[in-house]
Amino acid sequence: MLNKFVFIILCFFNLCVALAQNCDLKLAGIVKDAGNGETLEFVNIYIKENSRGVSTDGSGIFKISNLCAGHLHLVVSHIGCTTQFVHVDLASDTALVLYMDHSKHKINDIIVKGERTVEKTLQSFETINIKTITDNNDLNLGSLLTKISGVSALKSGGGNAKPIIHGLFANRITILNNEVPQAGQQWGFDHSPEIDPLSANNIQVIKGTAALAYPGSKLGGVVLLKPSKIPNEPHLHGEGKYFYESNGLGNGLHLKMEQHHSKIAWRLSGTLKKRFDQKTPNYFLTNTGAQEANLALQLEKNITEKWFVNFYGSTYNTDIAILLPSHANNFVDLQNSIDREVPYITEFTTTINPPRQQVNHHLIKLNSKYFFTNKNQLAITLTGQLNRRKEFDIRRGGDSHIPIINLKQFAWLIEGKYKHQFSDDFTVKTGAQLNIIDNKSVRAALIIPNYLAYESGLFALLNKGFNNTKLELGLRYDNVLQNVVGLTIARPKQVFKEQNNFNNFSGSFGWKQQILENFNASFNIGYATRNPAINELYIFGRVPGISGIIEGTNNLVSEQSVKTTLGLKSNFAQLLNLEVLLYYQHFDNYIYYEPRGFRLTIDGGSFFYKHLQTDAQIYGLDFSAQLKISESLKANFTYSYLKGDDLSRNLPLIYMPPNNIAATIQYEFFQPIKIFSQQLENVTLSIDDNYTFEQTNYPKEIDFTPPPAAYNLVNFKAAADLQMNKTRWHFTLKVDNLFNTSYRNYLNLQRFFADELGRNVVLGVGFKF
Amino acid sequence: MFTKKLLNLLAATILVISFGCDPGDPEPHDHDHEEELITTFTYTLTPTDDSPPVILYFQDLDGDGGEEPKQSVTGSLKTNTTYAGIASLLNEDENPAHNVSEEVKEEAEEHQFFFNSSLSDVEVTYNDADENGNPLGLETLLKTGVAGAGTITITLLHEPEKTASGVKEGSIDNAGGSTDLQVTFNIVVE
Repeated sequence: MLNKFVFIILCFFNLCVALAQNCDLKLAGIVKDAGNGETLEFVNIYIKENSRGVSTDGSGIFKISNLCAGHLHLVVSHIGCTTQFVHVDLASDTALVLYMDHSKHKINDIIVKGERTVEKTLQSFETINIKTITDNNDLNLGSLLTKISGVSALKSGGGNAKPIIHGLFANRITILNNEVPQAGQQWGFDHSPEIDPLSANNIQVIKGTAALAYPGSKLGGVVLLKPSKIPNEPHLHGEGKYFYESNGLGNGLHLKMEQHHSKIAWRLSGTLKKRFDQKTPNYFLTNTGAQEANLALQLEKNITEKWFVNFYGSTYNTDIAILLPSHANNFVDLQNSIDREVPYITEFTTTINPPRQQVNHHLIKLNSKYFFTNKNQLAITLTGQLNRRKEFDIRRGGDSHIPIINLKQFAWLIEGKYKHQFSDDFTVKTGAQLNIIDNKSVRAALIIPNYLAYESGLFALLNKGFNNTKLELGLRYDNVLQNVVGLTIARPKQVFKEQNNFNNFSGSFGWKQQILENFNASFNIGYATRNPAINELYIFGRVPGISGIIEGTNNLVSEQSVKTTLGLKSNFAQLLNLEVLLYYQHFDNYIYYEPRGFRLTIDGGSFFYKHLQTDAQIYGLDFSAQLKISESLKANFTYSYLKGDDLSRNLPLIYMPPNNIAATIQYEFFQPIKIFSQQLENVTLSIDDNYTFEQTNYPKEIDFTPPPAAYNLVNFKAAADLQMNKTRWHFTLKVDNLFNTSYRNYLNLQRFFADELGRNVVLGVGFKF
Repeated sequence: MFTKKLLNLLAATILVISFGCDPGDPEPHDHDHEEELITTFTYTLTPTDDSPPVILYFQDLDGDGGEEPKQSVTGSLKTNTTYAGIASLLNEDENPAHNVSEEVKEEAEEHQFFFNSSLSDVEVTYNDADENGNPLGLETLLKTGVAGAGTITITLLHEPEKTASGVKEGSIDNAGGSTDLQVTFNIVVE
């Protein structure tokens, strides 16, 4: 996407008359609301080169005179808006038109509405913007996504979090990092997506069954992470962010540098994080430290006017300690842990000891886009991913340094996509992919067998618009071939070989209607089949975090699902936004696992889990309301309801997220606050309250403990910006769990062993030059 | 030129992929790296008089697999008798069988056996110790009292808190740690 500002600047250059006096140039502009086109008053414009600043007047206009020719970097800030950075190469008197995302902001800065998104779709989606990502740089991806209603996280202590979208997770969720389907061991309940959210500029969650243009499951939602295009400006720019968190004494540093050099545009970013043991309100969580080191390189080049090539490479490396008291080998250990209020060990440690996970994920992507005309384009993409996962347990004989799980996966993707725009409101996209996954255990027990899978797919998407109606139709076919080599469960273990061949079909239909000027409805229906994954067919062993023996089922068949969503959005005089999303999903042969009794072994026996199939349904609603009381004071309210049923057995589905209500109130000072000679801008205070209900809808005879009680959490946040010469500083203070509430979370695998985190004070400082 | 470059890239990628195309046979006996299994537990009780020893035996060759373990007790214990107890742990999945008791002995500080009987008259005391003088339990003394029938549960804990209250005396309640072994036998004292 071409940067809007640059585009406008270029336009005006052509129109302007050169008055080439050296330091007698004028810069003027008008600032408008990107949402409704209205002009914006009190927008601050600051010029880095000469430290001059002005504000827009009542008609949104600003004027700066007596400027010298040359490069100017403007910082444009306004209440409730993400600060914009604009580059002007001033050669003559210049006029600008600037747009700011303003009215479309939700109070907590998650943009919900609007067309300026990563993926244009009629599906219901929500977006987390760069401000929310960087202000929460202490969070991992899974925890960050829970800021979206209808999205929760399956946790394993404080270190791991997997996104759950409308009750579905793991194999059914597709995560696209820079349009590359995230490979790796996504099936594991204690395996987080191996992505640094700080490498993205924008994170989008599509809640329907979308992403037919990508390989992977089409049954559940999609998480899209995308770095922005490198801004078209010739100077070196960079930013840095540092945070300190009190809980776990954690520190994190993120640095980014970028330049649109005439030869090649480049961006380099890196993140370092480290923390020690975390703490509940009453005791330390022994062995919950974590560390992370990530690096990403983005290169972009226009080889010709019609040929655009970009490269993306990233490496993600983490070590996560697993709560020591959760190391329950057998039934009695687990029972003892459940009966204990406080774990048997609550020492504070600063090292990462077994049980622990060590994960590395490396990605390279080469994408080439060719524009035949401005109506049709061809894109070819090659990607490679290497995922290494090692899990270390406490072992006898000084063997704790040898991993019990040691998986190595190569994933290769070759993709071609063609897009043709027949008219302004009729577009066809089509493409094909070949995805090759090679997964091996390296000198360790086989938790899942070695396999080599070929996934080849074809898709076509049609978008057609009429006056107030938009239609979307998508079809996709995938062939999945799994070559499996494993070991039998019975001893002495024998090698077995199997080949599985599956055909998956998916289709979706979307319809969006502008019913009134301020009321629209969108309806979506999607059908998809998903073949059983390797772990569902073959897994065998004790999975850390589940406290039991888990077994795959060899004769599972593909599951089929139909999901429908109905979204209603309305807006009352830009003061009140209401949005409701209703959804219903039906499954044939839904694959799940659950405790199937007790298995006697020499260490006293364990719960025994098996993968099973049933017919099921999941339905619910996500509701949100945003109220603008004044320009400074805003309130936000969300409610999520979800129910899952096992239709064959007439029982509730196990491990479904509990219902949740959240309310936020935010106050942003309209004018900058003067402190000595400095001005603090965008000073914002917000407080939010999150209430999670007790999950009462669970299979009572099957789960071995009832879900934890309901809980209420209050969080506080303050933020301010400060412009000093050429650098813009951003300060944040967050207090999570302000009242230090003790609680346990149904969706945390460690709920049997310990409470959740207590109060966490996070201080952040960021700069941008 | 553009298509040629692309084709070259494609060819290079396919070449790279084809190197990794065989999922490969896993090695069924990669024991250096698999978690050490305990397949067999024996608790041999030798009385101080001349009567035959009583052997408590538990064998589960398939580990976490679904086959039922084998379990036996040879004969019954005599009333008011002292037995010398020797616990033994084997991994019979290896050939020759690996003596896990040796490993436990070497890491005595990190291990402790616990013996709990439903018969209040059956009392087990430790007859060995680790380097710190804390009990281990590979060697024990078992004393019987009046006649009765019940169970004895034998537990081996890894990394117990040996200094916690009652643990040195053989109470498992405050020991924490994780369970390497836990078996329950039916015993008769007559």
